[in-house]
Amino acid sequence: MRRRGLIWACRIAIAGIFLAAGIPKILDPHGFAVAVYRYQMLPPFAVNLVAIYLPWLEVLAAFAILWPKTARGSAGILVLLLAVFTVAIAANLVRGIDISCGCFSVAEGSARIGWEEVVRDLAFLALAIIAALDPAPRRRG
Amino acid sequence: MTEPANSTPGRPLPLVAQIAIVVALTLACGTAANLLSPRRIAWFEDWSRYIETRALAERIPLATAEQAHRFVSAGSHLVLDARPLPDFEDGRLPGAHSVPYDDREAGLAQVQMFLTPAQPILTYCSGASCDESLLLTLHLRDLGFTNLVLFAGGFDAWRAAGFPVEGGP
Repeated sequence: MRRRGLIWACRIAIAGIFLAAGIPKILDPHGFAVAVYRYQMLPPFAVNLVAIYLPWLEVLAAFAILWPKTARGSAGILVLLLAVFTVAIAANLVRGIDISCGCFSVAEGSARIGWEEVVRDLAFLALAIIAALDPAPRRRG
Repeated sequence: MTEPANSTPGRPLPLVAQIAIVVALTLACGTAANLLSPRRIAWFEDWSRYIETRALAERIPLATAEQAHRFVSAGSHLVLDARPLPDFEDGRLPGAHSVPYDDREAGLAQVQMFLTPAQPILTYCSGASCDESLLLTLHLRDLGFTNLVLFAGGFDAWRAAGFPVEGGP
Protein backbone atom coordinates (compact mmCIF):
# COMPACT_ATOMS: atom_id res chain seq x y z
CA MET A 1 0.00 0.00 0.00
CA ARG A 2 2.86 2.31 0.89
CA ARG A 3 4.62 1.43 -2.36
CA ARG A 4 1.46 2.11 -4.35
CA GLY A 5 0.96 5.45 -2.58
CA LEU A 6 4.54 6.55 -3.22
CA ILE A 7 4.36 5.62 -6.91
CA TRP A 8 1.10 7.47 -7.43
CA ALA A 9 2.36 10.51 -5.51
CA CYS A 10 5.35 10.63 -7.84
CA ARG A 11 3.07 10.25 -10.87
CA ILE A 12 0.93 13.17 -9.74
CA ALA A 13 4.01 15.30 -9.03
CA ILE A 14 5.59 14.54 -12.41
CA ALA A 15 2.28 15.20 -14.17
CA GLY A 16 2.10 18.64 -12.55
CA ILE A 17 5.70 19.43 -13.44
CA PHE A 18 5.29 18.55 -17.09
CA LEU A 19 1.96 20.34 -17.43
CA ALA A 20 3.64 23.46 -16.03
CA ALA A 21 6.51 22.96 -18.47
CA GLY A 22 4.54 22.11 -21.59
CA ILE A 23 1.61 24.53 -21.57
CA PRO A 24 3.64 27.79 -21.85
CA LYS A 25 5.54 26.27 -24.77
CA ILE A 26 2.31 25.35 -26.56
CA LEU A 27 1.11 28.93 -26.09
CA ASP A 28 4.33 30.43 -27.52
CA PRO A 29 5.80 28.07 -30.11
CA HIS A 30 8.02 30.74 -31.65
CA GLY A 31 9.48 31.65 -28.27
CA PHE A 32 10.17 27.98 -27.58
CA ALA A 33 11.73 27.57 -31.01
CA VAL A 34 14.14 30.41 -30.17
CA ALA A 35 15.00 28.68 -26.90
CA VAL A 36 15.63 25.38 -28.75
CA TYR A 37 17.74 27.18 -31.36
CA ARG A 38 19.88 28.80 -28.68
CA TYR A 39 20.87 25.38 -27.29
CA GLN A 40 22.77 24.90 -30.58
CA MET A 41 22.37 21.13 -30.32
CA LEU A 42 19.99 20.39 -33.19
CA PRO A 43 20.37 20.75 -36.94
CA PRO A 44 18.44 23.84 -38.11
CA PHE A 45 15.73 21.80 -39.87
CA ALA A 46 14.79 20.08 -36.60
CA VAL A 47 14.35 23.19 -34.44
CA ASN A 48 10.77 24.02 -35.43
CA LEU A 49 9.66 20.37 -35.43
CA VAL A 50 10.88 20.02 -31.84
CA ALA A 51 9.22 23.31 -30.90
CA ILE A 52 5.91 22.10 -32.37
CA TYR A 53 5.78 18.55 -31.02
CA LEU A 54 7.84 18.41 -27.81
CA PRO A 55 5.43 20.52 -25.72
CA TRP A 56 2.52 18.31 -26.77
CA LEU A 57 4.52 15.21 -25.84
CA GLU A 58 5.11 16.72 -22.40
CA VAL A 59 1.47 17.63 -21.83
CA LEU A 60 -0.04 14.42 -23.20
CA ALA A 61 2.43 12.22 -21.31
CA ALA A 62 1.56 14.22 -18.17
CA PHE A 63 -2.12 13.32 -18.61
CA ALA A 64 -1.39 9.75 -19.66
CA ILE A 65 0.71 9.09 -16.57
CA LEU A 66 -2.43 9.59 -14.48
CA TRP A 67 -4.35 6.83 -16.33
CA PRO A 68 -3.45 3.34 -15.11
CA LYS A 69 -3.62 1.87 -18.62
CA THR A 70 -0.85 4.16 -19.92
CA ALA A 71 0.93 5.27 -16.75
CA ARG A 72 4.14 3.24 -17.03
CA GLY A 73 4.71 3.90 -20.73
CA SER A 74 4.15 7.61 -20.18
CA ALA A 75 6.51 7.61 -17.24
CA GLY A 76 9.10 5.95 -19.46
CA ILE A 77 8.69 8.72 -22.02
CA LEU A 78 9.15 11.34 -19.31
CA VAL A 79 12.24 9.56 -17.95
CA LEU A 80 13.73 9.70 -21.43
CA LEU A 81 12.85 13.39 -21.84
CA LEU A 82 14.39 14.27 -18.49
CA ALA A 83 17.55 12.36 -19.32
CA VAL A 84 17.84 14.27 -22.61
CA PHE A 85 17.15 17.65 -20.94
CA THR A 86 19.71 16.98 -18.21
CA VAL A 87 22.39 16.04 -20.73
CA ALA A 88 21.56 19.08 -22.92
CA ILE A 89 21.83 21.53 -20.04
CA ALA A 90 25.01 19.94 -18.69
CA ALA A 91 26.58 19.88 -22.16
CA ASN A 92 25.91 23.57 -22.69
CA LEU A 93 27.28 24.43 -19.27
CA VAL A 94 30.48 22.54 -20.11
CA ARG A 95 30.62 24.32 -23.49
CA GLY A 96 30.21 27.66 -21.71
CA ILE A 97 27.06 28.55 -23.61
CA ASP A 98 25.09 31.01 -21.53
CA ILE A 99 21.39 30.75 -22.39
CA SER A 100 17.97 30.70 -20.90
CA CYS A 101 16.76 27.27 -19.86
CA GLY A 102 13.46 27.40 -21.77
CA CYS A 103 12.26 24.79 -19.29
CA PHE A 104 9.25 26.48 -17.74
CA SER A 105 9.32 29.84 -19.48
CA VAL A 106 10.20 30.84 -23.03
CA ALA A 107 10.69 34.54 -22.24
CA GLU A 108 14.09 35.84 -23.33
CA GLY A 109 14.96 37.14 -19.90
CA SER A 110 14.00 33.95 -18.09
CA ALA A 111 16.35 32.01 -15.80
CA ARG A 112 19.75 31.22 -17.32
CA ILE A 113 20.99 27.66 -17.11
CA GLY A 114 23.22 26.69 -14.22
CA TRP A 115 24.22 23.52 -12.40
CA GLU A 116 21.17 23.98 -10.15
CA GLU A 117 19.01 23.17 -13.20
CA VAL A 118 20.98 19.95 -13.64
CA VAL A 119 20.43 19.01 -9.99
CA ARG A 120 16.74 19.90 -10.30
CA ASP A 121 16.32 17.75 -13.40
CA LEU A 122 18.08 14.83 -11.72
CA ALA A 123 15.58 15.10 -8.85
CA PHE A 124 12.71 15.11 -11.37
CA LEU A 125 14.33 12.11 -13.06
CA ALA A 126 14.27 10.23 -9.76
CA LEU A 127 10.55 11.02 -9.38
CA ALA A 128 9.88 9.85 -12.93
CA ILE A 129 11.76 6.59 -12.40
CA ILE A 130 9.68 5.85 -9.30
CA ALA A 131 6.55 6.81 -11.25
CA ALA A 132 7.49 4.21 -13.87
CA LEU A 133 7.49 1.36 -11.35
CA ASP A 134 4.66 -1.17 -11.25
CA PRO A 135 2.46 -0.29 -8.24
CA ALA A 136 1.17 -3.88 -8.06
CA PRO A 137 4.08 -6.21 -8.94
CA ARG A 138 3.01 -9.77 -9.70
CA ARG A 139 3.60 -12.30 -6.93
CA ARG A 140 5.59 -15.40 -7.81
CA GLY A 141 3.99 -18.88 -7.50
CA MET B 1 -9.73 -20.53 -7.66
CA THR B 2 -7.42 -17.54 -7.68
CA GLU B 3 -7.93 -14.62 -10.03
CA PRO B 4 -5.33 -14.00 -12.75
CA ALA B 5 -2.72 -11.54 -11.47
CA ASN B 6 -3.54 -8.99 -14.13
CA SER B 7 -7.35 -9.06 -14.03
CA THR B 8 -7.88 -5.89 -11.96
CA PRO B 9 -9.80 -2.99 -13.50
CA GLY B 10 -7.56 -0.52 -15.42
CA ARG B 11 -5.18 -3.30 -16.43
CA PRO B 12 -2.28 -1.66 -18.26
CA LEU B 13 -1.85 -2.00 -21.97
CA PRO B 14 1.41 -3.47 -23.31
CA LEU B 15 4.23 -0.94 -22.85
CA VAL B 16 4.75 -0.53 -26.58
CA ALA B 17 1.05 0.27 -27.00
CA GLN B 18 1.17 2.78 -24.17
CA ILE B 19 4.06 4.64 -25.77
CA ALA B 20 2.52 4.41 -29.22
CA ILE B 21 -0.73 5.97 -28.00
CA VAL B 22 1.05 8.95 -26.44
CA VAL B 23 3.25 9.45 -29.50
CA ALA B 24 0.30 9.17 -31.90
CA LEU B 25 -1.70 11.71 -29.90
CA THR B 26 1.34 13.98 -29.83
CA LEU B 27 1.68 13.89 -33.60
CA ALA B 28 -2.05 14.49 -34.06
CA CYS B 29 -2.36 17.34 -31.56
CA GLY B 30 0.90 19.03 -32.58
CA THR B 31 -0.02 18.91 -36.25
CA ALA B 32 -3.56 20.16 -35.66
CA ALA B 33 -2.38 22.96 -33.38
CA ASN B 34 0.22 24.15 -35.84
CA LEU B 35 -2.29 24.10 -38.69
CA LEU B 36 -5.08 25.88 -36.83
CA SER B 37 -3.44 28.12 -34.24
CA PRO B 38 -2.90 31.83 -34.95
CA ARG B 39 0.48 31.32 -33.24
CA ARG B 40 1.58 28.61 -35.65
CA ILE B 41 5.16 28.59 -36.88
CA ALA B 42 6.75 27.35 -40.08
CA TRP B 43 7.39 23.61 -40.17
CA PHE B 44 10.95 24.37 -41.28
CA GLU B 45 12.87 27.60 -40.87
CA ASP B 46 16.33 28.79 -41.86
CA TRP B 47 17.75 29.31 -38.37
CA SER B 48 21.20 29.92 -39.80
CA ARG B 49 19.92 33.40 -40.76
CA TYR B 50 17.82 33.97 -37.63
CA ILE B 51 19.84 36.87 -36.26
CA GLU B 52 19.93 38.76 -39.55
CA THR B 53 16.26 38.09 -40.20
CA ARG B 54 15.22 39.32 -36.78
CA ALA B 55 17.54 42.34 -36.94
CA LEU B 56 15.99 43.35 -40.24
CA ALA B 57 12.51 42.87 -38.83
CA GLU B 58 13.50 45.08 -35.88
CA ARG B 59 15.08 47.62 -38.28
CA ILE B 60 18.53 47.21 -36.76
CA PRO B 61 21.30 48.01 -39.29
CA LEU B 62 23.74 45.18 -39.90
CA ALA B 63 27.48 45.46 -40.51
CA THR B 64 29.69 43.09 -42.46
CA ALA B 65 33.13 42.17 -41.16
CA GLU B 66 34.69 44.72 -43.50
CA GLN B 67 32.35 47.46 -42.31
CA ALA B 68 33.02 46.55 -38.68
CA HIS B 69 36.76 46.74 -39.40
CA ARG B 70 36.34 50.25 -40.86
CA PHE B 71 34.39 51.37 -37.78
CA VAL B 72 37.02 49.93 -35.44
CA SER B 73 39.93 51.40 -37.43
CA ALA B 74 38.32 54.85 -37.56
CA GLY B 75 37.32 54.76 -33.90
CA SER B 76 33.94 56.03 -34.97
CA HIS B 77 31.87 53.57 -32.93
CA LEU B 78 31.77 52.47 -29.32
CA VAL B 79 32.31 48.71 -29.65
CA LEU B 80 30.43 46.52 -27.18
CA ASP B 81 31.15 42.80 -26.76
CA ALA B 82 28.03 40.92 -25.57
CA ARG B 83 29.85 37.63 -24.83
CA PRO B 84 30.56 36.34 -21.31
CA LEU B 85 33.63 37.96 -19.74
CA PRO B 86 35.94 34.91 -20.09
CA ASP B 87 35.37 34.93 -23.86
CA PHE B 88 36.07 38.68 -23.98
CA GLU B 89 39.33 38.20 -22.08
CA ASP B 90 40.39 35.40 -24.45
CA GLY B 91 40.25 37.75 -27.42
CA ARG B 92 38.12 40.64 -28.70
CA LEU B 93 37.83 43.32 -31.34
CA PRO B 94 40.39 46.08 -30.69
CA GLY B 95 39.00 48.74 -28.41
CA ALA B 96 35.92 46.71 -27.47
CA HIS B 97 34.26 46.99 -24.06
CA SER B 98 32.75 44.01 -22.26
CA VAL B 99 28.98 44.24 -21.79
CA PRO B 100 27.86 40.63 -21.35
CA TYR B 101 24.15 40.45 -22.10
CA ASP B 102 23.53 38.45 -18.93
CA ASP B 103 25.11 41.26 -16.87
CA ARG B 104 24.31 44.19 -19.14
CA GLU B 105 23.46 46.74 -16.47
CA ALA B 106 26.84 46.37 -14.77
CA GLY B 107 28.59 46.35 -18.15
CA LEU B 108 26.85 49.50 -19.34
CA ALA B 109 27.72 51.22 -16.08
CA GLN B 110 31.38 50.67 -16.95
CA VAL B 111 31.01 52.54 -20.26
CA GLN B 112 28.50 55.18 -19.24
CA MET B 113 31.07 57.96 -19.73
CA PHE B 114 30.99 57.19 -23.46
CA LEU B 115 27.23 56.91 -23.77
CA THR B 116 25.13 59.65 -25.30
CA PRO B 117 21.84 58.92 -27.07
CA ALA B 118 23.36 59.58 -30.51
CA GLN B 119 26.67 57.78 -29.82
CA PRO B 120 27.36 55.32 -32.66
CA ILE B 121 27.51 51.84 -31.11
CA LEU B 122 28.62 48.56 -32.70
CA THR B 123 27.62 45.35 -30.91
CA TYR B 124 28.81 41.82 -31.51
CA CYS B 125 29.07 38.41 -29.88
CA SER B 126 30.64 35.13 -30.96
CA GLY B 127 28.98 34.53 -34.30
CA ALA B 128 25.98 33.57 -36.35
CA SER B 129 24.56 31.25 -33.70
CA CYS B 130 24.82 33.78 -30.85
CA ASP B 131 21.93 36.20 -30.51
CA GLU B 132 23.10 38.02 -27.38
CA SER B 133 24.46 40.94 -29.38
CA LEU B 134 21.03 41.28 -30.98
CA LEU B 135 19.36 41.19 -27.56
CA LEU B 136 21.85 43.77 -26.24
CA THR B 137 21.17 46.00 -29.25
CA LEU B 138 17.43 45.81 -28.66
CA HIS B 139 18.00 46.62 -24.99
CA LEU B 140 20.08 49.67 -25.94
CA ARG B 141 17.33 50.79 -28.29
CA ASP B 142 14.82 50.48 -25.45
CA LEU B 143 17.10 52.70 -23.38
CA GLY B 144 16.91 55.40 -26.07
CA PHE B 145 20.07 54.88 -28.06
CA THR B 146 19.44 55.64 -31.71
CA ASN B 147 22.67 54.97 -33.60
CA LEU B 148 23.07 51.20 -33.32
CA VAL B 149 24.74 48.74 -35.65
CA LEU B 150 24.85 44.97 -35.20
CA PHE B 151 27.85 42.95 -36.36
CA ALA B 152 25.99 39.63 -36.67
CA GLY B 153 28.98 37.66 -37.93
CA GLY B 154 30.68 38.42 -34.62
CA PHE B 155 34.09 37.45 -33.38
CA ASP B 156 34.17 34.32 -35.52
CA ALA B 157 33.70 36.34 -38.73
CA TRP B 158 36.26 38.93 -37.57
CA ARG B 159 38.91 36.27 -37.04
CA ALA B 160 38.01 34.48 -40.26
CA ALA B 161 38.63 37.75 -42.11
CA GLY B 162 42.11 37.89 -40.58
CA PHE B 163 41.61 41.17 -38.75
CA PRO B 164 43.73 41.94 -35.67
CA VAL B 165 42.53 40.77 -32.28
CA GLU B 166 43.15 42.34 -28.90
CA GLY B 167 43.84 40.37 -25.73
CA GLY B 168 44.06 36.60 -25.33
CA PRO B 169 47.08 34.33 -24.80
